[in-house]
Amino acid sequence: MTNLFNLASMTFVSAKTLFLLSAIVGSTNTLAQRGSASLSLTDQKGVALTDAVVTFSAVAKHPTELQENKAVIDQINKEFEPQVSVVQAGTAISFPNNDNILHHVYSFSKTKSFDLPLYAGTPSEPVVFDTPGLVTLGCNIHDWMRAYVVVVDTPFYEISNHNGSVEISDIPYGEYVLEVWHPRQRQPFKDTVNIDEGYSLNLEIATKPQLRSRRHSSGKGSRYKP
Amino acid sequence: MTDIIRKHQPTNVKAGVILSLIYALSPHSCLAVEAFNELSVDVSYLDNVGLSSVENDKTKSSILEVNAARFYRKTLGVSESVNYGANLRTRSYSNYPCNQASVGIALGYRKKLGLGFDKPIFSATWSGTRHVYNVSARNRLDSEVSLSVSRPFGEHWDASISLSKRWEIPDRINQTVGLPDSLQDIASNALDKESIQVAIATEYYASSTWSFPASLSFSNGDITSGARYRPALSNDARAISNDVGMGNNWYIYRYEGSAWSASLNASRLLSDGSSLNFGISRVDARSDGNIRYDRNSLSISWIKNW
Repeated sequence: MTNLFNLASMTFVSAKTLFLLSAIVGSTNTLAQRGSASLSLTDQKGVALTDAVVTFSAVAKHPTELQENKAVIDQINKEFEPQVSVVQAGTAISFPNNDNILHHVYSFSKTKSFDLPLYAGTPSEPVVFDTPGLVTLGCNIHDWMRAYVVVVDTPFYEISNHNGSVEISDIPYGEYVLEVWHPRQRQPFKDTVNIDEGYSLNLEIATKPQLRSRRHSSGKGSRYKP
Repeated sequence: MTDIIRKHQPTNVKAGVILSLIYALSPHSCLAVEAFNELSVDVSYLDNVGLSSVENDKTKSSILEVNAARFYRKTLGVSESVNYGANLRTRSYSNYPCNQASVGIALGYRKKLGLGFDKPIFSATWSGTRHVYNVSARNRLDSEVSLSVSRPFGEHWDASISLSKRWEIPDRINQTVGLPDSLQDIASNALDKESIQVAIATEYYASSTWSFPASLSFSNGDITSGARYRPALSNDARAISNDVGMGNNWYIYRYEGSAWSASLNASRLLSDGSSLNFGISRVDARSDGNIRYDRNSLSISWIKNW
């Protein structure tokens, strides 16, 4: 009976040891095998594409921790700042009004619908963006004001800079869905890619023309017609 | 004592209402007030400044116009606001004796019908403008009320429709001295007129810098035409007066009739937020008795808003 107990005990210990070993090896492997992604984005005319949102979502889904749970979208000189944001699901965004007039921020997007009627200063409660997707923001007083929030469920995201460049580091090796979104894109870009030591891509995104803002009047006195 | 209070109560109430209104409209009363400024310089060319129906009497002239305005928008609620402000304008002609300066005020109410950038906006506006000419016989006061609805259609288009009523009230200066006896029954100030107008306007946003505004309007009511004396012109006229600025034997005729106006513009946004605007326009007017005239114009203007 004792032998039988010892045998069972040894088997249990061995299994535990193996599990621990594999965990250590796995963790070491994960730590060692992290790569980076570098993208260069242009439009169809070869002009650097600014404010494009690039995300890498692991094909084999695993739980991800919320890296940054707060963000800010200002209103300065009757414009949103920034006009494009990317946040992880669960992020609380505050909308301070830095103008000395009232703003009225709203969204009708299915991803997040909300309304912050006529306010000055900073609303007491930020708005939590808990569902992945695209949110379009507007101001009901100043109809030209527009901003976009891309809510993602991956920690691997970035917005292209004025050179159209995106650098994302510390991505575990593996298979990912690469998505690129831009406010003026003609079609969304989506592809499955393998991330290893140094993934890089030059990508052309077809865009619609930037239109003149309604902020800039074309007719004498038209601004003053109520 | 009670009588005194009763006697002064209505006055006090009125004063209170006026003070409340002034406070409500005061730009310093709260954050709900926004200020807008506009400066524009416009050079245009007209092929029939005096709106003459006779080819030989048409006067061509170029015009320099400078306009400055400051307006306020006070937000009353989620979708409501009032606008109020004033503008100053000078207009000088190269070949027409009607240089003028104007000062105007406007008050309007605006209501957005819903929440969102593409919702229709209803507005009601009153404006009053005092015009002073180098020929004082033309001095007048204009008053206009208008109702309009505007809205964007998609990313590229804006459109609006408006209905307005306009009164032009000249100073009480006798303009009929020396008119022939045969015209005495219609001798009165021809510049005293009123009309009603329906207008549609649209603007196409083509690129980051270019947009193309256009408008079409129809007005009905009093129309005026300037020309030398001809019996055929006076037969249909409802009023006739001397055109002092143009000289002897020149008259202003007022008819009942209608006019179509159309304009097409191209607007180029400049880097500092101002815009350069190129426009053509045409007016076709016809009296009920079939006196006709037209006027074409070309213009280029610089507009700065801030």
